[in-house]
Amino acid sequence: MALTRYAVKRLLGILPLLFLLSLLSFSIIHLAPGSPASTLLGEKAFDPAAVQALEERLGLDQPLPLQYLSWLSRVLSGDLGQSIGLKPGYPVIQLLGERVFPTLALSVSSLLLALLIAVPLGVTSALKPHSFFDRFFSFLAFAEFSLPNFWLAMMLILVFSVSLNWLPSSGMADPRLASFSWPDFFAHLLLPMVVLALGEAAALTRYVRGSMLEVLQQEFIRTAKAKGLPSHVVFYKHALRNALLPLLTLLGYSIPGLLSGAVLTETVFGWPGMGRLAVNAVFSRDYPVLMAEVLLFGFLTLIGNLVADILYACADPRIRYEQP
Amino acid sequence: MSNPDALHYFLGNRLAVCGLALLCLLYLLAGFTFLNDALGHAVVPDPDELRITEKSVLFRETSRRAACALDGSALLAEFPVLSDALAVPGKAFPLPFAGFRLLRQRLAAIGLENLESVNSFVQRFEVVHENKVFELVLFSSENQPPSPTHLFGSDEFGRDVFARVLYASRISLSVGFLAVVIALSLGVLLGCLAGYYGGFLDSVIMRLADVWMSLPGMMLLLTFVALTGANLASTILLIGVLSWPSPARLVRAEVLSLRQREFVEAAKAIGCTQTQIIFRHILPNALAPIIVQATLFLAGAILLESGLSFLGLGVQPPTASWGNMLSNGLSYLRTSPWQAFFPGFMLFLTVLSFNFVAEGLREALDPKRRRGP
Amino acid sequence: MLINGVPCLFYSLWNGPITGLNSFPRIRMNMRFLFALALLLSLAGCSAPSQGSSLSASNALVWGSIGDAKTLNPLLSSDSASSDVIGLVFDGLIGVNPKTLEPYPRLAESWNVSEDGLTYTFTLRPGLRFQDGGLFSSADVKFTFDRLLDPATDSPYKDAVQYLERVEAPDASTVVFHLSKPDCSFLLTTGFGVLPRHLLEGRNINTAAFNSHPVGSGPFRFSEWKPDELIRVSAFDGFFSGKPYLDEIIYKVVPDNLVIQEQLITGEIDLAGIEPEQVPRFRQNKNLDVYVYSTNNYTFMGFNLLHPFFRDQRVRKAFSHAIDLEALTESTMLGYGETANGPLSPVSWAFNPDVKPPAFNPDLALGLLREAGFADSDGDGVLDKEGKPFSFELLTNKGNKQREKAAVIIQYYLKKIGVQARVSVLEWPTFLDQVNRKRFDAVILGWSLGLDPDASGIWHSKKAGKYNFVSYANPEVDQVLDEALIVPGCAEEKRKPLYWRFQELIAEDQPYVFLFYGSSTVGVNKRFTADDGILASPLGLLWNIERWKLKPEYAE
Repeated sequence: MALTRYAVKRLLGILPLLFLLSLLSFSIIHLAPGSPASTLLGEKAFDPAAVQALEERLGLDQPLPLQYLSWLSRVLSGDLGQSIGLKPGYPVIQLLGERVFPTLALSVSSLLLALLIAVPLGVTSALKPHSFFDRFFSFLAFAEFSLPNFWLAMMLILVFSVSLNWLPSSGMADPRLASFSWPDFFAHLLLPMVVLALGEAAALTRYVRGSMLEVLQQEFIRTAKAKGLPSHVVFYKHALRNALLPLLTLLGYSIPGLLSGAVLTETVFGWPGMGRLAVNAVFSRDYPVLMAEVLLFGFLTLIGNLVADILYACADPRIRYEQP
Repeated sequence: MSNPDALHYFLGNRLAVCGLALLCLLYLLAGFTFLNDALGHAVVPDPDELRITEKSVLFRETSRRAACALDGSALLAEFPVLSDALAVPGKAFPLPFAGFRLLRQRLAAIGLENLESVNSFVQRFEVVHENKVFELVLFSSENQPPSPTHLFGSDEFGRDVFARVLYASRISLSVGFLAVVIALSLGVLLGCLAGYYGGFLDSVIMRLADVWMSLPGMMLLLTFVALTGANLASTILLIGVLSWPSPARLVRAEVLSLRQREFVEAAKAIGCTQTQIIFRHILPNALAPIIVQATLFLAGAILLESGLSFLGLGVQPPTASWGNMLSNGLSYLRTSPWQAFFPGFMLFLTVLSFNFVAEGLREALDPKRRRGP
Repeated sequence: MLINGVPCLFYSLWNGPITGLNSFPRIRMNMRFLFALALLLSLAGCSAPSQGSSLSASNALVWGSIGDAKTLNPLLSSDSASSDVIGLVFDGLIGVNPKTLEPYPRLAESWNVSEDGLTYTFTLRPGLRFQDGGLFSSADVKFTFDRLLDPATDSPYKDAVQYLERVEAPDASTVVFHLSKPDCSFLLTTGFGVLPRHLLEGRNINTAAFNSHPVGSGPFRFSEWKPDELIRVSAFDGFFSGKPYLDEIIYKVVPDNLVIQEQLITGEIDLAGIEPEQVPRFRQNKNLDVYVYSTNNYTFMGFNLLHPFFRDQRVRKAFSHAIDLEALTESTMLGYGETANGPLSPVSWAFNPDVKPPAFNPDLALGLLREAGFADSDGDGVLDKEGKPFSFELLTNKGNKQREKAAVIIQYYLKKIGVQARVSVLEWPTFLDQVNRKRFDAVILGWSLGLDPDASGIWHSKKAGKYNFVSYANPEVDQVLDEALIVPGCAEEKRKPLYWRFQELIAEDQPYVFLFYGSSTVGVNKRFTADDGILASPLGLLWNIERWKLKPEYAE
């Protein structure tokens, strides 16, 4: 099939693209002013001689292409290096690995919750367009994604943690508990998950509603009804399936987002995820960590886009990947 | 392609119309702050001091000072290139700035030629006097709740929150608008090319888009800021330049399906060139999602700016933007909540309006919508 | 960019699904099942223990911090979070008494300094151990200082041992330090945390795994480190003055300022720094005590002395008189700070109270500027000289609210006398980069001072490349500082007049506009107290952390 050939071609192309990405990112990261010396030496970093000595030891005074080549050769042999500014000496791969579980836990659960809210709401809104139900939830959706994320998070903390004292306000676990406990974990997960899910659900609801409306207006639905099929068969077998297909495309685009973390939410809730790691790495100029993240995120983006494009092509055979 | 039916449908959507009205009002207010800068800073000279007898010379003095005042305005400090072009302290005559000539004519027309009228005209706008934004009245009006003198209250420095919110609107609105313009010009162009020509060009552009999306945005922002120095311009440019892949991808999808349609075949049959086909036939049909996309992106860009301010990037104090007023106000949430509430509310209202307008546009421009009798 | 936390979902007008898409696999979304799952998840969440029930019973202190520690090696740490935890895990030969600010013996029993000030001999206590059971001896002390002297160690504390030649450990309980020059500030350096030789010998100290799993001889033993979440340390029963009363201290990372303060109120954390604005509210809270103490630091506005405008002493003095320092201090510190008058803080014994801060006198300021050749020749409200307006860039670093506030206030006062200051708030690495390249006009920064009044690092012309980034050079200041360091016996009475002269000279020159001395405001949960009470001093609250305990009514 043309599609399989296309997919294989894309897969093969990932490696050179990653290479290009790493080259570009390396240059950008190293061109930014400031150096890891500023975080490693703290207040003492006013001594240019000390900064120079540190940079020599870290190999940062060599010309950029040389640095890139040495980084590349290390990566190709599997060594992602050690963190410089964030946790000096700590292996990067461990640093990233520790964040995978919290990040995935948060992103997957919030996505699931978002789908859980969005699909029923969107579908029901589409079945009765412009009714009170539809208008009310549309308005809510709009209001929700007009709110800044961190603002919503802060408000929820003030209400549920501070005033009502129902839920903890930050972190992944209660520090006073000696060992991991699932109920405690879920209590900590709940607020950040809800904040993220609300944001995603708002957009998804509109999306599902629009998609469903589209499908319901199609002629084949009228045909199905005219054929005398019971309405729930029309609904589930024909309308819903077709309406939810584009959703899959969207989920393909969300794959990189699952591991990139939600910076603002994580900062407000003190959630130890990849987003916060990224921001802290930028502010500490932790080059090895930043490059590792670029690789990881780049890889996921490329895969995610490939998946989305393939699903899109499956959904719409009118699209041909050839010359006109 | 003119579509009066779409316009009619749009106007029937009450929320969208309200949103649009609000946005127009906001942009007007933002523009008004420029005017206020000019007038507010006009330290109208005392005629005795300067021994001026001619009204025209008086006006010349006033406009010159206004031009200098414009140079000193905070927004221009963010765009050093612009301010260099406009700054002429020390020169005797104001720039051949059409605006000022017009202003003079208008003022003359409504009879505000004499000194007292100009003075009172200025004073009527006292409440939003630019000086109030940066005027610190220490110890006497810090952290005041909303009152007739301070409509939205005052912040920890005694600055009027209402004036700051108004001036901040300039930043937030321009970030959104300019970033969208940049992102869309790049994105639509590249998306069209990718979708129409397909093949190698398509692959190259799409792979470039992939790589582009994975670039470390924050590092780019930091580099830019350091190299150019001006925070706001860099933020706008960066958000715009970084965001072209998404519109490009969408436009490409549209073009991909449109190019298979019959009208394209017809256009080819009558001998239209490739460029003509793209720009006169395909693009107008693909415009609908682009417009919707643009409005949504505008909303997103404004929210992005507030997110960046929360993290400490973006516009820096003492320049006000809704984002940094909001983050700053969070620390005072318990003691003086109005500091965070008003910028937050304005932010919310603006983004909400953009979303309503986008929705209205989308429904109005939806080609599959049943056009009823 | 996914800054908003929402994957970039954009509306797209797809071309609509096609009829009869049988080739695509079915998606069976069983709604009922998913709803049930969601319900189950939320129930699980609700069954979590509510706040306040099980927490107050545990004999642990939760210490809230905005940042996570970077490294737990005393030789390498340069940020406050790392130093906080290191202070719990490691201990040194001497400590400093908060009331007298004099050194007192900790791991060392006694010490003496030779006549010529070149030899320091310490006798260690008997029976000391590390937290892993290993014996503590003078070899460990020698090892620690050898590593500090080693150029391969990335330590920010090299200055402290600049005159240390070598360290000897003649027997297991004696350590001898040999200096090349007398250095009165050296004694306090011996308070460094001591590293265990048996765990670090032969390893690269910059990257050793030890830095994430430290072993020291301090009151608390390292237990676990969940990155960006918490660090747990538990009481060490082999501690030299006895096992600490508290079972555990948990250093919890809470990245947002507002959330930290709220957590103090809900009781999720027991100890954290609070903003001056919040102090009244915290004082009213029944569960919290607020401690305020001056810290040995000051904030200043430094001029680039190579800048054509700021080279002139009159300009600098004009600035000092143009700014209402009292108002500035009041506004930024809200009553918890003091206007600064010079390079030493009142905490120090060498502080000169006779040197007064410059009086607020804008007319005098204008007069001085006019003398220096500035005048408003074009009537635009901004002073200028030779056609160039007096406009400069004032830099400060992001993340310090007081400095940002000070910058805005200074901008306001300068505007009143016709000087235009453009405030730029840069993040730390960028800020440092600019300062180190001398590409700045003026900065607002702060210095934390050591307990010894020697401030050569900042003011000596030899250090023009280092902390003396403003390029200050005054031979008389150099001479006074050099003399004060080599006073025989380091007698305070002999050094004091030298330091008083030093402060007078600086006040004359005004290389900085000294703004204010800092203070810390800390909130502590009422459950905690200590033997002899919790004492707020410039050394912080935790100098006697091993004797902190729960009040009897809260202990079980």
